[in-house]
Amino acid sequence: MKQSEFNTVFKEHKDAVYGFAYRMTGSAFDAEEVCQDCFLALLGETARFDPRRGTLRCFLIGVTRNLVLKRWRSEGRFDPIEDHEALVEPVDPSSRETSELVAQAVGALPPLQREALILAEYEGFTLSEIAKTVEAEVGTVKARLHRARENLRHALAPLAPVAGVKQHATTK
Amino acid sequence: MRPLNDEELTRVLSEWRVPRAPASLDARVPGERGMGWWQWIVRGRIQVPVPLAAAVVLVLLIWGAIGGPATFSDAELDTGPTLAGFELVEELNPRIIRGGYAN
Repeated sequence: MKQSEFNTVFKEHKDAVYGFAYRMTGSAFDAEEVCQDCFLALLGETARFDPRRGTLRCFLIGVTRNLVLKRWRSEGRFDPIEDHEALVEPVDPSSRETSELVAQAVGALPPLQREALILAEYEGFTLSEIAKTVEAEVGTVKARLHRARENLRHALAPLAPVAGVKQHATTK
Repeated sequence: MRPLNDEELTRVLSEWRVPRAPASLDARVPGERGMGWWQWIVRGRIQVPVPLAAAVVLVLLIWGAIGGPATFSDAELDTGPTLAGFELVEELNPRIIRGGYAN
């Protein structure tokens, strides 16, 4: 990959990669580190990118996802066993802004549910794209996504009236 | 407490916005690759594996403890001519000795 091509890819995708890393790690510092590693990896792994298997954005998000999981494993924060019963505690709406409460609730999801939800809700990936990215079956991804949303329905329930007011205000 | 429905959940989730990539990232990623060697001298970064860095530090510590490279004392280095003991001549009385008077 030429320098000019790399610069174009970097400018086009840096915000998406950084945003995904930020949501996954919950830390600006970690997100920047992961984002840097992702693009440096691209320099060495461009041959691995196959346009027939998906877009470059999907490829970069997949690389980022693997880097985040690698960090979690090295820090002992990743449990590969799926926790079907894990429940996220309801948030306290009086303590923080809505954005922070959502970040807190999503960050409290088990890792495999969290990545599925982030990829679906914030990256706009289809079930098939998520399955390729996380190297799992579509059915498995669907189940993780369902559990994640169920968890968040309860965890973010205290925000329901606030959400209703905001919708009312924005539709006027 | 009533759980959120699909529409409410989607709307609440959309409230979470993340910042754009910081400007410092620009300098960390493509900047390094595009800079010339003279810029690299000033701004360049290298990644060193931790075991290698630890080994280098250990070697330096041992080297320092042993005494480092062989050194010479001042006395050993001071073997050349010096001006110590040199005095200026106050009165000059030249004597001419002709070769014919010898013997």
